[in-house]
Amino acid sequence: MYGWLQPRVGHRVAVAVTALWYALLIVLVLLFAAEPPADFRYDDL
Amino acid sequence: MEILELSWLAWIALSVVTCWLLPGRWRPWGIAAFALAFLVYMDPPSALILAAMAAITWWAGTRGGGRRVGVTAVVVLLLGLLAVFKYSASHAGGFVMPLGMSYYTFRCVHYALERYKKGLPPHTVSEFLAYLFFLPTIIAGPIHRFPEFHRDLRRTRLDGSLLSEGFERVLYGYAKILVVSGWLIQSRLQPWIADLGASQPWLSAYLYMLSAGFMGYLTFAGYSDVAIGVARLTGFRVIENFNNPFASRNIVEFWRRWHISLTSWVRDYLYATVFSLTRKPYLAAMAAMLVIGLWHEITSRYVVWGLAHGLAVAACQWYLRRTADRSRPVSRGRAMLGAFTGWFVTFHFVMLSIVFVMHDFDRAMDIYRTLLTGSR
Repeated sequence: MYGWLQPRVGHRVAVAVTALWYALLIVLVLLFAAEPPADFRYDDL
Repeated sequence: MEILELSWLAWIALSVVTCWLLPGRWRPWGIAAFALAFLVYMDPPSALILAAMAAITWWAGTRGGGRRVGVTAVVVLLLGLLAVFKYSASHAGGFVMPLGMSYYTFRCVHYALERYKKGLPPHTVSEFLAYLFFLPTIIAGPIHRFPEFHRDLRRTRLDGSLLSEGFERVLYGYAKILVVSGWLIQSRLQPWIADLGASQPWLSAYLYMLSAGFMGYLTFAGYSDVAIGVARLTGFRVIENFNNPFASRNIVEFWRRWHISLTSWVRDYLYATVFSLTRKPYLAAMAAMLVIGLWHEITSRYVVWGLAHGLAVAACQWYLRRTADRSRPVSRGRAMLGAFTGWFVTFHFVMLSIVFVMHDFDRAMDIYRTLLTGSR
């Protein structure tokens, strides 16, 4: 992502946006990793 | 072991650190020893079986090297072993499949055949073992190739951009598996689709088919992302496994974009062989798709699935050859309509076939009946 952003918005903004994006992904992944998976199949309809 | 378990993450983190800390000449031994230790920790019989397969493969390349009969016997033995385990594991009360065996066997066969054809760069036994026992790809692929792995093994140096790419891919992989596939589709969308079933059975069955297809794709693509990302963290670029498969405009294109490491293996070692022996492309396509089906599971439903895809690929090849001869120009509107129709047919064929292998026969027929008649 940084490689794509850097030529477009400059080094500093690219680093900031990439860091924020990674942080958001990490939070989402940790949040949903704790959630028990639903065991739904078409058989349950 | 689930890929989010702390122990799996600990193994991965330790393997990355070990890989970078070891001096160059010890790296191949370190990579192989680490993956072997992981297998012993997880399932000792798997470690034993995979180690035996590695020994047989190495034997084919050295003592059996240059002798067609030796390599052929080893390839038949490796594939036979895989078939026995697959068949047994697919039926109640059978053996448990050794960890990663499906991917591992195809890597062994690739190595044995390429070494016989003298298509491999000069290498040592430690580099061969590092290729086969490479922790990021040992459980769920991709089926990477020896020459690329060997190039990275010799060249590897600490590269910031590769580490950043690897970290990003691992995050995307986990996001696909946990956030989009697990939470959004499985926990939120599918119960809503189930509620819809009482009032709108056709729409419910249709949306269920789409959700099941996307869930299967995102989970598998997520596993591949994690494997590719961890490989990059250790300095290796392994083959991509998916390239927007649902954007394909025909089934041949779909199979160039879906599980690329498997389909390219089957194209190189099976399709090309059958085609060169028989000069019948449709027969080669049928054989290739049947083997791809059986590689997943040796059951009647995967035989049907493989043959259905084989027929579709053969029909598509025939159509593409027939239309390629036409030199008549086509209007822009007609070309767009053709592209859309191709995408629509391909997408729905793939989704319907996923339903077939995700459920038992009766349940899949229930879904098809609802899709055809609109009632349950």
